[in-house]
This record gives sequence, C-alpha cells and structure tokens, in this order.
Amino acid sequence: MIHVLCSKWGDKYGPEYVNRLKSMVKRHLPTDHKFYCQTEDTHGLDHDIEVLPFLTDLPESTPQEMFASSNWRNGLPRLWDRPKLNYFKPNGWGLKGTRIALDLDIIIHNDMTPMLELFDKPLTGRSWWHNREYEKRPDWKHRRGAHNNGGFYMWEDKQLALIWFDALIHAERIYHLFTGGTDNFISQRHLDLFDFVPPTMYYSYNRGCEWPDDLAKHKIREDKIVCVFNTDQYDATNFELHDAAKLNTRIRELWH
Amino acid sequence: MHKFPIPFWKFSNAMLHVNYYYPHRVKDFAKSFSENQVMAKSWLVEHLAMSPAASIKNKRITILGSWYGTVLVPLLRYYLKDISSITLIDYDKEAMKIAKWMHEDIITEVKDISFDVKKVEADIIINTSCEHMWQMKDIEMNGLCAFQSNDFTQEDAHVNCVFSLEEFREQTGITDIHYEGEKPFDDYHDCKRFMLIGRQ
Repeated sequence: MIHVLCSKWGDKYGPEYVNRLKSMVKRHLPTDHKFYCQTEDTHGLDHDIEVLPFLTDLPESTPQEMFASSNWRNGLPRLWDRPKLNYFKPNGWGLKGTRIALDLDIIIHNDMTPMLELFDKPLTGRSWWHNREYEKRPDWKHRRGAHNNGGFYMWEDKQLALIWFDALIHAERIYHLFTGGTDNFISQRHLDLFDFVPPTMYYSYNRGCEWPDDLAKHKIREDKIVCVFNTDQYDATNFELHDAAKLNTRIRELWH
Repeated sequence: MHKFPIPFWKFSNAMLHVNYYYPHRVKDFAKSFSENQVMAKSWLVEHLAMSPAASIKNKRITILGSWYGTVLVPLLRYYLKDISSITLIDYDKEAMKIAKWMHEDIITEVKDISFDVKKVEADIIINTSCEHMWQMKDIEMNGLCAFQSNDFTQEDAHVNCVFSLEEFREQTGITDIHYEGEKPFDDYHDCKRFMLIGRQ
C-alpha cells in the first residue's frame, strides 16, 4: 500500500486541483494506494479523499499560524510552504510504509510504474531545466538556491526522518533563512538523501525539460510522466495550471 | 611594494587561478575586492587597530562567513601585529580552497555558521556578513567581536538585515561596546552599513 499525500491551504487553488490530482493518480498508479489531502478546508473535496489535519509539532506551521506570523519576505511568509514538512514526520498521521507526496499543480500523463521501479533511495524531482553552470555559481549557494523540485517525493517512512528532526530542532532559523521554500531547505541541507527522477520522466511546463538543449516552454511532452507547473512571480510568461488549461486543449484532456 | 597594505599585485595571479580552476567563480571573486569591500574592511580594521585587542600578544583571529578573505586577511596582517593565527570559517567549500591557496598560514573550516557553530573562542572574532546568516547572539562568543551588517534588503541572499544600530546590538547580543557606527552602504543605493565592536 502506498500513501499518496498532497496539501491544500489558502485560496490559490480550488478543490478541483485535489480531486483531479486524485483522479490522475488513480489512472496512472496501478499499485494499491490511498489518497490523502492535508487541509483544513474540505469543501468540494471528493468523498474518497482521506483528509489529514495539519500537524502542530513544528512551531507556526499551520497555515493559520504561518499567515499570522510577522516574519514575511517578498510578499510571502518565510518558508512559505512549511506545512509540507509534515510529510516527513516518521509515522505521521499514523501512516506506515511507502509514501508519495505530490504538489497540487502537476499533471500526470502516463503510467507511474517506471518511477516506482527506480525507487531505492528516496526519490524527488530535479530541476533539470536549471542552467547547471548557474547552479555552480557561488551566488546560487549564497541565495540558498534549490536544485530539486519538490513536486514529487517518494520514500519509505523513516527514510527521511533526518529532515523532520532537523526541522524540529531548527525550525525558527530554517524558516528565517530559507525564504525560497522547502525545496531550498532540502536542497541545501539534505539533498544527499535523494536520487532524482530522471528528465526522461519529469519536466516543467513553464521552464522546459532539460538544460541546455530541451528548454522549450509551454510544450506538453507526451512521452514523460509528470509535468510540474512551477511559476516565477516575476515571469509573465509563466502559467498556473488552471490558466494553462484554459489555453491548451491537451492540458484540459490530461487534467481531469 | 611592502608598503602597500593590500597586495594587489597578487590578485592578478589569483584571478588567473580562479579563472582556470573555478571559472564559474570569476565574477564572485572579482567582487571580493571591489571598492565597496575595500571600504568596509578598511573601516573595520582601522577601528580594530584602536581597540583593546590590538595590543594582545599572539592574537588568535577568527573570521566568520569569511568568503575568500581577499581584502581582510592582508589588512589584518598589515595593521595588527603579533597575530598567531587567522581562522576563516565559511560554508562555501570552494571559497575556502581558494582562500587557502591565496593566503599563507591560515586555517580554514567549512561550516555553516547558522547551524554548525555554537561557540567561538578567539581574541578577535570578525563577521562582516551578519546579514547573510542567523543571529550572532545565539553563538557564544568568547573574544572581542567586530561585526558588520546592513539594510540592503534588495539582495536575496541578505536574509537577516538590520535597520539600525540598536537592532544590530539586539541581534548580536553585544553589550560591552568599544565602537559603533554606520556608513552609506555604497555610492549607488540609499542604504546603510552598520558596525559594532565589543563583547557579548
């Protein structure tokens, strides 16, 4: 049994994101699984989605506490996606065994079995579209830049306990220093725990697939498995999944 | 040439070294001896030289978040006498390798100061990049501290800026103050650089 987790907070994404993610998982994950959503807002969610409460072990980690905190930067609370850290709590929510965590704003095109066959060490997405020469530059490290893309994680419970305990011990400073989000935190402190889903399976609608030769944006790559819709608030050519779906028939076909 | 406090002639060789072995760092290394860097480090060493720690024999100096130490290490060696050791600590492994290559007889340690340093023991403890890291008051500093920060929040890497000396005192836990001051951050922005010299 695989536990598939996602989270929904705030009003950026509606319940249709959760419902459609569940449907895509159902179509493309042939292994026995259960689908969960960490949320406090169950309105509009399909009845077969297991709702999980936000854990409260980490300080100011529920969305309500996070948004009420005074520690913001660039228009967002620092470590703005900190509720995702709850995924890594060993036996969190009483769940045991293999877990997959997915962002809401992704589409799954094809059978996920090849991704599961890779699984040995914990797996995560890699921002293969990043210019690797830029990633080597010192300013990338100084800005505590990300290398992985947390749209997808897969691990066996307790394999990532180190991330959880680091967050528990250092929550305040992790929130403060990793203003970019949990990808930045994990990239800079725990990346060696992971293998990466290869670019043959994973890409970004807004950034492309793999640097340097396959960076065409806004292109559905039919042979891949997961497409993420990571956006840069300063890039007007980036589309949220719901906006891309309005413009692209193929995305509408896939995202249901 | 021995009268020049900063050995600029050596920087030519260092640039070639960086360009050959670490081409992705050329811009970063060039920035380490910009006018702004020379100004900030000179300000610090000028006041350290007038501090009570200047007269300590066989001084041990530790520099937190040192980067390459391009300007600071030679200035310290020129203006402060009787230095027994200079230790550079930074989480940037390549910067530490380059620093080791550039400066003779220094100790380097690769550590993330925000997470891995609980206590520092030295006669003089320098940190000119407090804005990049977690607050210094959570590290036990046994020695005279010479710290700088700024309010230049436009830089993404500046995650812990301060906006006044009062806030900087609170952030560092420095209470026994030998010197405190502020200067324009640079010629282009309406921002300030702050400096505190004293003890926790």
